[in-house]
Amino acid sequence: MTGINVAIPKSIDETLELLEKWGPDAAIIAGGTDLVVELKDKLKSWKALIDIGCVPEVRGIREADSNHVWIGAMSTHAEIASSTLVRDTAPVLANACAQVGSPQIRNRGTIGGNISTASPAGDTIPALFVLEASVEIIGPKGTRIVPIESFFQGPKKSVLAPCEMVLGVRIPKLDKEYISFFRKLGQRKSLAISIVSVAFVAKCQGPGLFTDVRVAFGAVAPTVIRARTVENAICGKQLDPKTAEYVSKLAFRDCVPITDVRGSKGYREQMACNLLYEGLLSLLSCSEAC
Amino acid sequence: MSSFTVVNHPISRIDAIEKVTGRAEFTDDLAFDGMLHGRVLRAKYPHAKILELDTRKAEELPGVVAVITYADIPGAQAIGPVRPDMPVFVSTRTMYLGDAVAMVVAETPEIANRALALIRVEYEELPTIFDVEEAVSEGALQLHKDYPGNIVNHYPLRKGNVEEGFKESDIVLERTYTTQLIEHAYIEPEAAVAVPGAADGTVTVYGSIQNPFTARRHVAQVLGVSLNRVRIIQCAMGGSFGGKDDVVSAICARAAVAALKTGRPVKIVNTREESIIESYKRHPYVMKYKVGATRCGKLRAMEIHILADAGSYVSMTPFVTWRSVVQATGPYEVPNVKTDVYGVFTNNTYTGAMRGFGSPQIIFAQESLMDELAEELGMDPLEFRLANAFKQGSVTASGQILDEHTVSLVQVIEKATEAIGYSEKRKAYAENKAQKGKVRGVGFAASYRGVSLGAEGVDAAGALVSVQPDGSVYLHSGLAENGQGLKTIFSQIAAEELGCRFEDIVFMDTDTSVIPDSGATVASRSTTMGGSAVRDAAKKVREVLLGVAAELLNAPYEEITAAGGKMYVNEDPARCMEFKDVAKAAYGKGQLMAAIGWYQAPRVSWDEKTGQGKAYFTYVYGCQAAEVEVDCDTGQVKVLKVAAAHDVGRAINPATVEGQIYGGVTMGMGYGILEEVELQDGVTKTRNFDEYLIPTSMDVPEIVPIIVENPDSYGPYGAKTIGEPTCELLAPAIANAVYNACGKRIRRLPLDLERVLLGYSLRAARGKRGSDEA
Ligand SMILES: Cc1cc2nc3c(=O)[nH]c(=O)nc-3n(C[C@H](O)[C@H](O)[C@H](O)COP(=O)(O)OP(=O)(O)OC[C@H]3O[C@@H](n4cnc5c(N)ncnc54)[C@H](O)[C@@H]3O)c2cc1C
Repeated sequence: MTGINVAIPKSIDETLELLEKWGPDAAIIAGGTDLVVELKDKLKSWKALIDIGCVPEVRGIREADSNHVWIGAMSTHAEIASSTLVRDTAPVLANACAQVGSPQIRNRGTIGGNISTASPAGDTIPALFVLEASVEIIGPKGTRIVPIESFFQGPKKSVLAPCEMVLGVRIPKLDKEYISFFRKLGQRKSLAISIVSVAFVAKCQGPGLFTDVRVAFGAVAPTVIRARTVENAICGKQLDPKTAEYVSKLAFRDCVPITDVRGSKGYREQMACNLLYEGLLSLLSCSEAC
Repeated sequence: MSSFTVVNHPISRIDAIEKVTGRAEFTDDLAFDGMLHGRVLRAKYPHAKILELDTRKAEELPGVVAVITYADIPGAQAIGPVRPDMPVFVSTRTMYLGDAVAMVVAETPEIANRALALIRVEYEELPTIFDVEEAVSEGALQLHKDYPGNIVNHYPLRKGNVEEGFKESDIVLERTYTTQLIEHAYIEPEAAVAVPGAADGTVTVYGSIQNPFTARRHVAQVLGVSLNRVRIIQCAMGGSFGGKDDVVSAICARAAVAALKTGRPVKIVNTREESIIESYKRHPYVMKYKVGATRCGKLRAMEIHILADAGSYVSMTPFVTWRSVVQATGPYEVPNVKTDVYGVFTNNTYTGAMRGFGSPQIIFAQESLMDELAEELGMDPLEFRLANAFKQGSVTASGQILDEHTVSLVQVIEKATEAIGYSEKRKAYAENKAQKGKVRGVGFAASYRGVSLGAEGVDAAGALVSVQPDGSVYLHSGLAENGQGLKTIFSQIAAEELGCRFEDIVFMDTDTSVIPDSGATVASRSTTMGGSAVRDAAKKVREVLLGVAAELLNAPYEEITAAGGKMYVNEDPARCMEFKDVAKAAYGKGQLMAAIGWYQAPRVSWDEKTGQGKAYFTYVYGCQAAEVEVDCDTGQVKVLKVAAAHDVGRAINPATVEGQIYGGVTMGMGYGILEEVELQDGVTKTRNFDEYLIPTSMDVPEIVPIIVENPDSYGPYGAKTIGEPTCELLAPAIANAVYNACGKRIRRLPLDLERVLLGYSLRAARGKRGSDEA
């Protein structure tokens, strides 16, 4: 590992210049919690690392306009989980960030890194799917905005070009009528990569009655997916525990999981259904209030 | 109040501050002038012939000083604690994936790494065996020519007549239980540094070494030199749990060969991946139990057949499986027993010593079985066990009468089950009908355990106490600190016996050039054996000092007490001297203030053909009870609370006893629900802690440690043991609790998500050994 260059640009322009100079030989390093593992395992070799920790343009969590929240790529899971703005307007994301790794990982790992890694098991991604967030990408040709669902192309594959980077995410705010949850299943209580995860957002029209239903699953397909079959089945239907069980079972139609060291295909299919069911049940018991 | 001054008090560990502040020196912290770095090239296939080994390109790389292979070894090619069958470097044939083929020694680890890629090895793959049942089947491939049928060892045990026993039984159950391959998961991977001595052919090896004397023997054999040419110094240990024995001996030997060849210090530090691939593991067992009982709940007969996967080399398998044969029936009176335990060769990673040492496996089987049998009999598992439990004067499966110590099994069972509220909760939870959502359950397991080595081998240990002219004390011990708190315990014993203050003792790291060979720090024997040796040494020195004090205080020797840094006349404590002043005076009088203490274990016996005899000189009893929550939708088992009652004889330090309980319970929980080294056709799949999952602090449940003290006649101040019993009980307690919660009986460890939900695992990334028989 001798002789790797590390650059610490102070602005986005400087960052873009460096990206152009090095091309595919350079990698951006944010928190390093994914990248350092790759370096160590020699999965990739780079000539240079561009540390974006001092770039002001990728920092901060704020209201972009009255309808949107903007989260800079360099925001850590811990910052997002404790942000009042996010907790008020996109609680499902705060919830997901709070369940990443361990305190150390949440203090270093960033949302930009989580998205850019493009793992189907990345925990912020199902939350961003159901929030219908967009990714702000900046590159030599300027800025472009890509809906989160179009960002991923496969495991570890995204639309990011070598000289581009993620600036931040834009999230439409949810008003108070929306209800949500994020659940992940891991073998243990912390430091567990999701075997299956599920994020849910819907407008609550009364106890057990939801519209604008959005459901996304992680770790059950090459990328995080929206489960449209399930969404349609829940939308506008009066749910009780029995129907909740029925609609949850439809999840396996949307999932195409694989077998790996963490779980088998068959188990994952069942778990996608059960995790959703457990989540819906908990909503049913608290949506009486709305 | 304790009648002791230092012993039996919860004193803070003397190494606590240096460890938590990061000041403790571990092997990798050492650096010597001109030090080189060794990196090992490992086997590409678990079983293959080496046709050609070409190291020339690697040798030519600038910065490479030498490439070491079997051809460089001056002495023994292979080592092993029981049989010397594990090559330090393989010459013609690899037997498992962790075998060392060659080692590059270079100026930096990076250069050594690069050179590894330049070594060319041509292999011819050989047929393999990964499954113990296949290995013992007729016509199976023979892996080692001296071991027909791939049998490493066979221990029979015969008591009474099992045929008769089954005839007398109203209920006979047959069950098969299996356990998995387990990694020690010490935080510090294996490491050693060898430094060539000034005198020709001498070498000093520093390392993360569990057993300095074993390492010395192996290094000397490999170098072909006498024992006194090799000096082993143990560094601070980042955990061991039985794991840093023969594998570390091999690493020390490689470093020593390289150091003598190059004339420079050589350091070897395994990466985590190398550690998991190379190091031996806890044996997976396949255990067939047949048990018979009368309708009123009395055990009549047990027939037990066990295959233990030894992997590629003998290692500790004969000793590990011997403990299994002694304890396989559990702590219950069974009049008729027939047990056969076999160690079996395969091409899996070899297996050896790990905390528990042949007990966690059989206790999982036997304690699951006790619950299953109670259920069949319609009895409460607690009542059923109490009806059959060892009591004072009971006779074990090997015919040993338990009358030389307090048989406290019933006491520990009652304490642990009460603390968890077992009886009431079990009844309430048994009504659980839910197949959905979260349900709770309780369960427990009990054991008896032979202390120290037993009839396994030579059992003696030494210590050296040396009082200085200013009253401060050096303490050397032949048994070594492994992170378990030995330094503190031994210092307490020395201070108590000498009558000095605890702070006056400095415990010296174990150095083979100073202290007599005391065997290995294993089998939870340190406090009993080494502690007795410390006490013996301290007593000898105290007698000298008392003699001096008697003279100066002008009182008879017998009437003087030494305690807490003072020596005083019993009748008139005001007539007293400071310990340090007595030491000064004794020095002035030219008295010897140092002594070697020695302790030899009481006699034990064993008949290899019948498995009868006095296996161990004393036993400890333990019981752990658990309350769990099972998620019927995901198969997730959450351990909510554990009560652990252990009879330790006497707690030399109640705080470190509790520490052992917390750690052992946590390891037991990993064994029960999380951990498994996955091998696919002999290839290690779980190579780091992202895939080999151990419990984190978030997973640790509430633990209630219950220390039971029935002083023993042998150990120091009545102390027995605690290290291993804490880690052998929780897995079956959890399995029994899961059954109580949701009615699922799981007979294969671990109880991970898939196995609890589905009853078997669907994961494909496993070798044959991992395939579940439904
Ligand atoms: C022990 C451990 C536990 C973990 N647990 C979890 C978990 O529970 N859930 C989970 O989802 N993840 C987990 N992770 C993975 C990781 O922590 C997260 O994905 C994290 O969000 C990555 O962020 P980072 O800032 O550390 O990324 P980095 O490692 O710095 O970067 C990751 C990748 O993204 C690229 N990148 C980073 N920022 C940008 C940017 N702004 N624009 C373009 N490319 C960029 C880098 O070049 C690199 O390829 C865990 C990792 C570890 C080591």
